[in-house]
Amino acid sequence: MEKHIPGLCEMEDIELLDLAIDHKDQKAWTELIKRYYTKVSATVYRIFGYDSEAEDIVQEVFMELAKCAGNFRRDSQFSTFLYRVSVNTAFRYIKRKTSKDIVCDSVELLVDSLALEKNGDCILEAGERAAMVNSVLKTLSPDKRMAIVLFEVENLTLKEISDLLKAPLQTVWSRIYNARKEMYDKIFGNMKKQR
Amino acid sequence: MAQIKKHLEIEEIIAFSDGNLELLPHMQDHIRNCSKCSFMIRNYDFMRHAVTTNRHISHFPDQKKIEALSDASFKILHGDVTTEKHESSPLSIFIRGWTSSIIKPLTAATAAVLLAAIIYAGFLSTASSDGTMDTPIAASDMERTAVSYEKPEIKISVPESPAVKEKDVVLKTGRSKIRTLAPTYIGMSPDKNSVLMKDGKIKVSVMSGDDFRINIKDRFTVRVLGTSFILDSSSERFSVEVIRGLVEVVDSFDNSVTPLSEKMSKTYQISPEKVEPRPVSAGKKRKIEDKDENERKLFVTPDASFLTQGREALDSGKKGAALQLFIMELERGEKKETALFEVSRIYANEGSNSKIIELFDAYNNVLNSGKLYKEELLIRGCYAQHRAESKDRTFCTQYIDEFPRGYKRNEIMELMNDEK
Repeated sequence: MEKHIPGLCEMEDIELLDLAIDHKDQKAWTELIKRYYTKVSATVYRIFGYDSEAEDIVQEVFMELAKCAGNFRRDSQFSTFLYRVSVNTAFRYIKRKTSKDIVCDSVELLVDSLALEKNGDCILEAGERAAMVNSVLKTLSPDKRMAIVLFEVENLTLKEISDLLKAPLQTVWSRIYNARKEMYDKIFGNMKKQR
Repeated sequence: MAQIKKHLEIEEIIAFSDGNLELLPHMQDHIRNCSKCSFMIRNYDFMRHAVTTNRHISHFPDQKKIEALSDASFKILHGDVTTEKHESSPLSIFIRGWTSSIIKPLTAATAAVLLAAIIYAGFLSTASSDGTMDTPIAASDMERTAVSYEKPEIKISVPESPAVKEKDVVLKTGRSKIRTLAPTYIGMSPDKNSVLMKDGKIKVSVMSGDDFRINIKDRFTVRVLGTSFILDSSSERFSVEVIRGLVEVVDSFDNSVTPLSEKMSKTYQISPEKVEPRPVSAGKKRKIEDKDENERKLFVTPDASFLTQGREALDSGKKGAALQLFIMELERGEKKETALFEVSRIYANEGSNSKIIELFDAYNNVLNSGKLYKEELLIRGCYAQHRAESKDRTFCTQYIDEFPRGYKRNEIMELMNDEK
């Protein structure tokens, strides 16, 4: 009987990684990137928001993966490992880039939009809503922003967030709590003032 | 009734939205009549909804970028193996360079050549639902792969007729993947709609949205509603352990449906009788009491939940029936925590401390996922352990840990200190 020879696209992630590292097979590496590019992009966009910078983070994730692929201990799924790399890279990027001088002009814009939508005068497009949410999220400190995004958007548990961000459970919870409070105050506090 | 003027604080709104705050009747009245508070609750829900739903953007990979990215990252991957130190293009330069106009034409040209090769290899690439691209591979690649890679783990389709598969075999069916964790008897059903399994152990990973069913020994059907779980089936028992997502186990014996969510597991006895007995032992004392109870009539609403029926049975003085009904609610109903509370209350009234401990151990997942009665249940468990003179103080320590400001904290601390 003829032996079935698996193609790259039929292989498991770990097999591709082994090929790329041990046998220096670039096609296997490309296949791996191809397989996960969409997922990594989705993760980064969810964490960072759809932005021109997000594209750079996605690329940075794969560079980071190349650097630390040798450290992958095989005690978890490759996808889990890559997810951690994605989150950590995005977090580092946010920490590096977030400046305290972010002006809240965008928040005022958001308040106007929300007021319009609530009054039924205008229904916001999905893109506009996303931009709006990003604007407020970007005004949060990196720690709070990561915590609330991982909790609300990525649907991770407190324990998972605590492991990822290497922060105690209680700290993670208070970051989420304060982030929600801050966002609420920023959006609706301003709205009240305007009235 | 005089309306309470105190408005809700944002802290209370957040807790309410998370399900951690139960509104008392006077608070409910207040919210109904207070435009400010109802406006705040609506706003908070609106904001939370906006955060949760507006950041999911589907993105399709650009082949050129992937190829260019692969080139650059592959060099990094072998940075310390290959001696390419003369190349002075660090990561940051590459990333900036991609968007700059100097490198872009070069990378684009390289990518275009590689892209052409990929298109030649298989124009009809299929995009699977998890976003990966399954591109047919060139014959030369397959040959090279076969020579360079010798790992035995190969994905094959689930056999059409059931057969024993060895440990660590990866089987594919549609978008889903089954890995055998022990030698397993497995195959497709004749109608090709479900996977049949007899003895063995498998780990199943299913893409969300797939209609995927596994039939165990023509009795249990595991309907997959989520992503990943482990099935262990032997001649005597069958267990399901959910790693991620949600599954439903349908028992054809009585058509019962048991939903299992993340980190939950359940074991069934495979015997002509029903599923495994739960640790609700019927002692001699209760039998005597039941005898008295039988003299009265039992009134229950036919279509009501087990919980309601249990309460009605309790009102009719049928403690035994009530217990059974509460257990049914615990097993299959929605208000598991309330049912656990009711059962434990019956045991507490009886002074059956060991039964309380046994009950809480058996339904530890309900206890731990509880919100409304958790504090009360832990206190009850702690006192039961104390009165039963058990050396185990799990419920006491859990109470102290989880409710550092609990109203029984000092009392329980004293209790624990005295014992020391």
